[in-house]
Parts: sequence; C-alpha cells; structure tokens
Amino acid sequence: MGKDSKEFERLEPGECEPVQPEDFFRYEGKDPRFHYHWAENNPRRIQQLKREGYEVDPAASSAEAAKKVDAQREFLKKSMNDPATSKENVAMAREILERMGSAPVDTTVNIPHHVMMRTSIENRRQRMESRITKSKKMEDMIQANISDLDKALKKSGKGGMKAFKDLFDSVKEQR
Amino acid sequence: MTIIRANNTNLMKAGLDEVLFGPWEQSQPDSVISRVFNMETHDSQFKKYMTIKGYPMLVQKDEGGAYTAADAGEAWWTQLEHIAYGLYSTITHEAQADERYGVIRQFPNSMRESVEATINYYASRVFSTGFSALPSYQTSNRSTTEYLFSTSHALKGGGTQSNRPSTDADLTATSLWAAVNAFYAMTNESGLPWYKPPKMLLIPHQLQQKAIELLQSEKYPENAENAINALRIATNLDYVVWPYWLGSVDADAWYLLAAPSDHQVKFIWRERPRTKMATEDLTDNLLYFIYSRFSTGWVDYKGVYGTSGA
Repeated sequence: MGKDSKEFERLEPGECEPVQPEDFFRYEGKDPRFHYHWAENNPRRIQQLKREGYEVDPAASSAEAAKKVDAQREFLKKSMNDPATSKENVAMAREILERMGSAPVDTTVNIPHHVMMRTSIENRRQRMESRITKSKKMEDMIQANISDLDKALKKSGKGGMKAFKDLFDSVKEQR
Repeated sequence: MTIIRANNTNLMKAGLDEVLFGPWEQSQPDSVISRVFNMETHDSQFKKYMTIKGYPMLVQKDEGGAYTAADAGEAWWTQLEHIAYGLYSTITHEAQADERYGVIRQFPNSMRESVEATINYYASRVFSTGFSALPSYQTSNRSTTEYLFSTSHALKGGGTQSNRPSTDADLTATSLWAAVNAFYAMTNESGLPWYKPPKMLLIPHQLQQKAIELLQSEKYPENAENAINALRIATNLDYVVWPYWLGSVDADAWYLLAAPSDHQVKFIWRERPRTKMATEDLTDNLLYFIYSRFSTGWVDYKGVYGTSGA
C-alpha cells in the first residue's frame, strides 16, 4: 500500500493543467490588418460575404489552389518520366494524375465545407458598429411606438360612454 | 351602476389590464427567455454570486490515517443589479369619453409589445454583445475585457479556457461538432473536468433552416454520401430561435448551450410586469403605468459556447 500510494499524490488545484482541446478553427498566417471568418463553402454564402466587403483569403483561394495542383501535376509528370521511377510508382502517379481535378478552394488550407474569408479591420469595425446601431434603433423604436400612441390618445376627439362599452365588449370577445 | 371617477379608474384599469395581460395567459413574455436562461426571482436590490475554485481530486486515506483537508477556495464573484423599466401614458378625459375607442384599445396591446420587446431586447443582448461587451447589470472581479464568449477565460487554477472558436465560423456540421466537443473539454477552475451536455442551439431566425437540417436530418446533411447524421444520434440538441432579436443584430452568430439549470447565464425577475392607474386631479386625465424590474447577465461562462457572425 505504502509503495503504491506514491501514485496517488495529492493534486493541488493549481497543479491540474486544464485540458486544451484541439483548436480546430485555428488559422495560421493571419494578417493583422484583416478580420477572418470561416464561411460555409457554398456560392450563395461566399457571394453574400463578398457583397459585404469580404474576400476569400488569397492563401485559400482557387488561384492559389490551382498553383499547388499545377506544381503537384508537374512533379508527378517529372517522376513518371524519370527512368529511375519504378513501374508501380509510375502507375500510381498516372492514377493520381487522372484523379486530380481542379480544386474550388485550397483544400490544404481550408477546413472541409468551409472557406476562409477575410475583410479589413476597418470594415469589421464598421460592421460591429452597425450592429450596435441596429440594436439601439430597436430600443428607440420601442420608445417611439409608445410615444406615438400617447400622442394619438391625447388627440382623440369628443364622445360618450360608448368608448367604455366598446372596451369591455372587446374583452368579452377575446375571452 | 353609477359611474363615479373612482369606479371609472378601476373599470378602465381592469379593461386595459385584460387586454394587456390576456395574451400572456397563452404565452408568457419571457417564453423564449425561460427556455434559454437560468431563471430566478429575487427580492432585493441586487444579487451577488460567488463561484468556487473547486477541490483537488480525492486524496488516498490510509487505514487509520487522517483525512487531508482541502479548501475549495473562492474563484469569481459577480453581482447583478436589477434595473427598473417603466413608462406611463395619459388617457385624457376626452379620449375616455370619445366614440373612437379603437385607439385606447390599441394602447394596452402596444404596452404589452413594449414590455415583451424590452425584456427580450435586454436579454438577447447578453448573447448578441457577448463577444465585445459586458451586460450593463453586471459587475464582477473578472477582467473587464473578459466577455461571455472568449478564447482566454482565466482559470483560478492557472491557464485559460475557451468557449468560442479562435476564428469565428458559420454554422455547419463541422463547426457544430467542434462546439459539441468543446463541451467535453470544459473544466472547472481547478482544471478538473466539468461536463454538462449541450442541449440547445440558440440561433437567429436566418439559421433556422440550417439548424433543422443539421439536427433533424437522418443522413449527414452536407454531402450526398448518405452517411448517417452522427450529430443527431450523438446529441439530443434542440434548437431555439429568438425571433427578431438575434437576427436583427447578427444574422449568422450562433450559440450552443447546456440545459438552463446547468449553466449560469441568468435572468432574474425582481418584479414581473405590473400596471397601475391614477387620476390627475386637475385634468381628470387617467395615467396608466406599466412597470417591471429585472436583471440579466452571466455568472459563469461554462456551459455556453458561441461564435460571432462575419
């Protein structure tokens, strides 16, 4: 027991290292002048974000992807023509070449079903301010709504007790 | 019955209250809020919460040996101060007597909308501004730049913890899985596992279609390979749309939450909406008041995960 107890040393709270989950959405090489966002990889979403001032991060673009694909294709062709390459490797290179199509985005950079898009920090700041403004407008709208009704009530004309009757009739209907 | 002014006031209030409160018998103004928040009621000016650092793992106790003392320790305090909201409107004597009663009938309806809007507006802001601001009701001993959703929540036991992706992401099967997995990685302040299952996907209305596809499709919804929808099998997530309030601010932000009893994002009723009516002696005008008092904020970020829109 005494020997085994060494395995059960007390852990102080500070000694428990928090488990760090895999940062799945980490993106290396961010330019600090830009704000980045993982957009769903569908044309509608990408177009929407482009209209809002975003662009596909050049490192994740189809042009960049094409360059990489071209470089791989050249490498495979060169390998196939190299007399030192074994027959099996030539066959494998041929098969890979046949399978290589064009890539819509750089799949070596992007997470499947996502495209990395970016916008200037200034545009991002304006978008965030716009959200605050929208939010404030909602608050103002609530006040304006009540204020208008208050004015309408005050402007109402003259009449009799029918008003009361209507009110209670309407309540009865609702029941 | 003789219509005297005292009766008039009471009758009018009863009628207006009926129109105002009647629909709440079917659906309470906080119906969405109560599905999302850890609800409480309170009877003082503010409520203070304290979280603890937590105990270490149990210590082996040898036969006849003494127990080892451990101190849970303080972690963070948060104070939520209730704020009162209210307004009144004047119903002139002429308006009461007016034939055109339709205006007055609209009046409590509009007040009801105003109450609903007010509580939903302030409650939704806990989430919609949770990436860049703290709720105005809230004071705490945390850093003033530690918002509800952060990649670097400080842990009392050392280190940091995240409850948002390091780069914000659209709602997809991949990003939702990442969020679900983030729940498995959450720890208490000592770094020991803190696991409560995610239960609810909180979304603006613009993401409703996507949420249904992700949570209810039998097959994996993002390709044509007919794989099973593992997300649906592994989790029991429900989705909650917060109509208007989230989507009008940020149409593509989304949030994953544990059950309300498992997280510490609070909505506290100090006083539920109530009305009163008074008569102005000099004018005979009726003054119809509505009043409510509440606070909302977060005591702890554990059990919630969110990502800001683009």
